[in-house]
Amino acid sequence: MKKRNFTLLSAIVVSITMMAQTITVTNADGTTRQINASEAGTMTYSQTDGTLTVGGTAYSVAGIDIDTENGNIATNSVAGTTDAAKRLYRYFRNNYGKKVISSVMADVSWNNTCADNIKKNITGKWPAMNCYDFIHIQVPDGNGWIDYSDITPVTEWVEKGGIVQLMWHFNVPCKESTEVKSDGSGVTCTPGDGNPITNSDGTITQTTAFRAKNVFIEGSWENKYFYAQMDRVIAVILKLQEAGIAATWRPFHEAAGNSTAKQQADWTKAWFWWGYDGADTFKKLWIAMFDYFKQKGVNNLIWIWTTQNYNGNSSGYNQDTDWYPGDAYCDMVARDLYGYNAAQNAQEFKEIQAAYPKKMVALGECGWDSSNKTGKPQGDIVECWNAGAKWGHFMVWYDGNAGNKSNTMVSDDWWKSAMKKDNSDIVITRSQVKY
Amino acid sequence: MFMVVICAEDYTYLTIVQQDGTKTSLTAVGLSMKFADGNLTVNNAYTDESKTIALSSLVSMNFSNSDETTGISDIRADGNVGLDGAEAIYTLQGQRIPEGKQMPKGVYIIKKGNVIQKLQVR
Repeated sequence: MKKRNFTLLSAIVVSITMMAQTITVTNADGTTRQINASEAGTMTYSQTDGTLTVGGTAYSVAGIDIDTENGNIATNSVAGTTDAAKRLYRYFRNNYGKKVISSVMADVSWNNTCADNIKKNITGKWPAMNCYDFIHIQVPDGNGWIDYSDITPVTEWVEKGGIVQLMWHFNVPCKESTEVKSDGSGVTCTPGDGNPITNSDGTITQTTAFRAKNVFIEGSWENKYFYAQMDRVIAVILKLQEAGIAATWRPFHEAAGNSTAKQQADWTKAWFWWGYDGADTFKKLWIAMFDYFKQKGVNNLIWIWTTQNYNGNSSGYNQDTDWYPGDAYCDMVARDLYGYNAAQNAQEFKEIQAAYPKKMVALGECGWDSSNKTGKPQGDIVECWNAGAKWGHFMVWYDGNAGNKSNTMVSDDWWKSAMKKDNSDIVITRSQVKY
Repeated sequence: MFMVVICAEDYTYLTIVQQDGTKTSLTAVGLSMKFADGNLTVNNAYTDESKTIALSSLVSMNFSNSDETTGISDIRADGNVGLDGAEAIYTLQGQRIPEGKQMPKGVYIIKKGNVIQKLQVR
């Protein structure tokens, strides 16, 4: 037998624990200063001049907020300045990395149907957040079937403790001459020449000749329509704002579509009109919306940009970092994943967080792979978490043909697992929400 | 091999100290404090904790990982401290101390009407 030599390696491991809260001191003049809790020492209050000494500096203090440090994640929202928005952003941030906020899509647009299904038919609990879609905002008023000016579905949700997410499948007319009908027809998000196309399975897809780059040409039909529709959405959001409601806001999602495919082909394009003219136009579009919302007094939104790397396929697609509007224009970065298991969720989360270290990262949409419901489901959310996918929130997409009790793209057992009591230290449900 | 592992943890509490020695510990993360109208108003929306104290009684604040709440002034005393007005004395474990019994060193809870005090016997 061959004699083996072993080398004993001795390791010296020094563990340093940093106490990590962030103290935000607001001075009497409204200025703020952030101090790490570990540097604060004993904060003494002077009865002589009414100052509070924090970390050796005396402040004419008006207020103090204490929050978890959470690495490089910004302590303030980029545009959420109402009291409700500040509290909501703070809630997301203080839970980030500690717990995941559960969420589900409305049954298409302006209701709490899927959330109610999950509570009443499956788990006994509501998800913490419900997502509404302005997909029908262009339908003429008085249509008899949808009325966004009636904010009752949202107010009822909030009064019961729920968090609100708003998104927008920004539909545009197929052509300049197309009339938007009261039944919602005449519009689409799919770019093309404005004529319908027949798919291989015989279904028809409407397309639009609307071009994002023309939005910036004063007087173009795209320019007029873009701002007119934003005004309709803004009117609803301001109504929510006046009601004291803040929301997360996820417009222009999945903008890059297939355009980042490593092997380019005629199909490797954006699938929504807002991405069709490329990254630079998209970023201009995002910033135009951001600025217009601010100009109109919308201050209750937490902005979420959705990075698109088609279903997280990093072997076939490049990251879309050149589509990122910038740190000043969003609070969170989301990704939409369908049919991804826990390990894949973790890989995507880590990649995105590394690319955007100052932003909270969320699972913007999830569910099974439509082509293989049972073979490629969304991974169990707690397994995802334990594998390292520390999503700030997840949002399950609806499916009216799902054939399950929730009408969403995960199984009933998936919801039972996510919402069960044993997982309450990881998954936040509506009854746990406080902010 | 030499490794340095840095862990970030949050302090559990922020403790407010008043002129009379009262200490109030509140859950730190999520705490909001307002200094206005002669008062310090403290709220934690996540835990529903709240406290309002006059700024004229505020001494200091510090972070800690243990609940330092006293709720009252500490009293330093020997084992024969006068306990006028005390209706009952309890150990921190909730056991009532028989009337007239010599108390060993330690901390006790005294009930005087609606006032609850903590007593440290040295």
